Amino acid sequence: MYTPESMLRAAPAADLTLRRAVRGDRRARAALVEQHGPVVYGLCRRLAPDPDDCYQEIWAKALGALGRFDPAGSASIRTWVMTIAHRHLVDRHRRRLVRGTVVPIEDQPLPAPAIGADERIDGRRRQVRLEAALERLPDPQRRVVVLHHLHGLELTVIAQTEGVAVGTIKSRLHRGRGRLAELLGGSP
Amino acid sequence: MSTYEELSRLLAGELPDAEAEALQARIDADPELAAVWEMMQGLPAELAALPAEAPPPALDPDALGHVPDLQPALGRFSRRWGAAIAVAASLFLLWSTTRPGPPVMVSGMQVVEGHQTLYAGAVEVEVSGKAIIEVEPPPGLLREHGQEVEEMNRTHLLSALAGAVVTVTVLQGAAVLRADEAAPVVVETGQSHTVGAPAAPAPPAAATTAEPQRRVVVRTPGASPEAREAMLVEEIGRLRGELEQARVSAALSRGQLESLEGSPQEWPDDVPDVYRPAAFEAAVERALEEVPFGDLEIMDCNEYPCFAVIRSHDTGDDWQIPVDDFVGLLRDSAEGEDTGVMQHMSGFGRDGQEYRYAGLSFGPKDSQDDREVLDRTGYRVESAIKGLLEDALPAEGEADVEVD
Repeated sequence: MYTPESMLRAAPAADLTLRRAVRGDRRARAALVEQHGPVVYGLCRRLAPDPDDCYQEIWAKALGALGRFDPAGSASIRTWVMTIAHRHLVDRHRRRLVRGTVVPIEDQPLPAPAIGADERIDGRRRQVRLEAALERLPDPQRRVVVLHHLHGLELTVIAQTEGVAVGTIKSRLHRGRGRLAELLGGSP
Repeated sequence: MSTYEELSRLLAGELPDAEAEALQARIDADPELAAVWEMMQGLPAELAALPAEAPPPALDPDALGHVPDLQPALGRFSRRWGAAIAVAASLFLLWSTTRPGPPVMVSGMQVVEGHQTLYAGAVEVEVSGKAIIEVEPPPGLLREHGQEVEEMNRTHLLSALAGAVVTVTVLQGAAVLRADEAAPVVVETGQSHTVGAPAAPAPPAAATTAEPQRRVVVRTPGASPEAREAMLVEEIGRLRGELEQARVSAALSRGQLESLEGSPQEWPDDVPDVYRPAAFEAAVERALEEVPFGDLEIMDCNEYPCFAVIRSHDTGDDWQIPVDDFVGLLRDSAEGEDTGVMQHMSGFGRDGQEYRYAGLSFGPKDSQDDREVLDRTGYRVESAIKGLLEDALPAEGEADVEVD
């Protein structure tokens, strides 16, 4: 029977799973991957040319370093995983850059917007166009836009992981948003 | 800055008042621009509405690691002592269970490091530091039960181990031993204590010195107890030697690294604002707008002074010409100050791919006379550029790297 005191001391199930995962329990690690996998894959899908490989590499890194994660520390496990994923994506981008395997950004027009008789653009199609426009952004700009607007990361956190000043990240954000507006058909 | 960027900055409230007012006036006067502005305003919400999550593929099971369930007990053992653990592995049997409670050491020798509690035989041992624990189970336990010991429940196992001989030798810190109803025994660095040994020899006086007394109980058929003890003492001695050697190597490496990397430089209190991070960042961005010779790759103000690495668009012979213009603009940004600019120009090429990087830092001219600052900044800039280059190096060969 639980006393109020023991209930107060009892850690939430998620915390216990996390602690077990940190200590190496395979089932707990699998649960961790199941919980945070969709977010990691969401990042890989938008920010890596080979999302499946990217996904495997990130988890190999994250799980390899999990023993050093402090469950009682200030960072949440999601933030920690996201930071590892972000760093990995930056590293991959730099490798691609210097190896010259980056696919050049094409200036071909985006698919024409679906305009109905009443000229209303279907929301889903608008999303498809936005996704296509995102793909056209240079990697550094796309990372900032995706991490900030889709995943809610603060610009200071992004700057820290990228190893650049906040002002640089702001510049990338503004260039990225500007380019999106341009690609989506606006002409100032 | 393009009009699109200006709109984005207006949205973020980052345009100076005068520029914001001018742009707003243009928006009010130009329906096309107003339409773009409207789209820009809706962009953050549209982006946020995109699904951030996606169904992932199955993770390679190997990525989860081959970690046995008893890892919680082993996880804190020192890797440095891995060899000792390997030596003892054939002599060692650890019993663990998914049921609550510390692991139980049934037989053999183990090195334990960190803070953890386990049962050595029927003795509860709490280690804070590093200790060698040895267990000689009661005669007949393993012979009678063999591997079935793994199936025993904890209560029965601890009962069966009540007659085990347990020796704890503390190398660092302390260990607390609790056996039955006896008072806890604290064993400190250099000391050894044996529980359950009717004929255990009293530790000699040397056991209280820094050199720990070692009494080893092993189960190696075909060797006398003295020979087995000598083997393990020799092995531990060898490992201690390796540890000392590793410490010496680490100290040497630290010294060599320091001479190579220099010491991290704090920002001096009296550095003019024009050289501080915000001004440097703004100066670089302004200069890049005027002389857009490349892309900003790295900006680092973690130490004094700031530096930037820019990848040149032009990889031809004259690629450094616009860099000189750029440097001139940087100097101009610190008008009224006697400015020194440090330049690192690097290039490499392979398989038709050419890359050129300019690493630039600037600060008060007299900072260039400070050898420590100069060396450290040189190291920071070069390592940043080389980091980019090393990422690019194909595994099979060296790139043609030149750092001026």
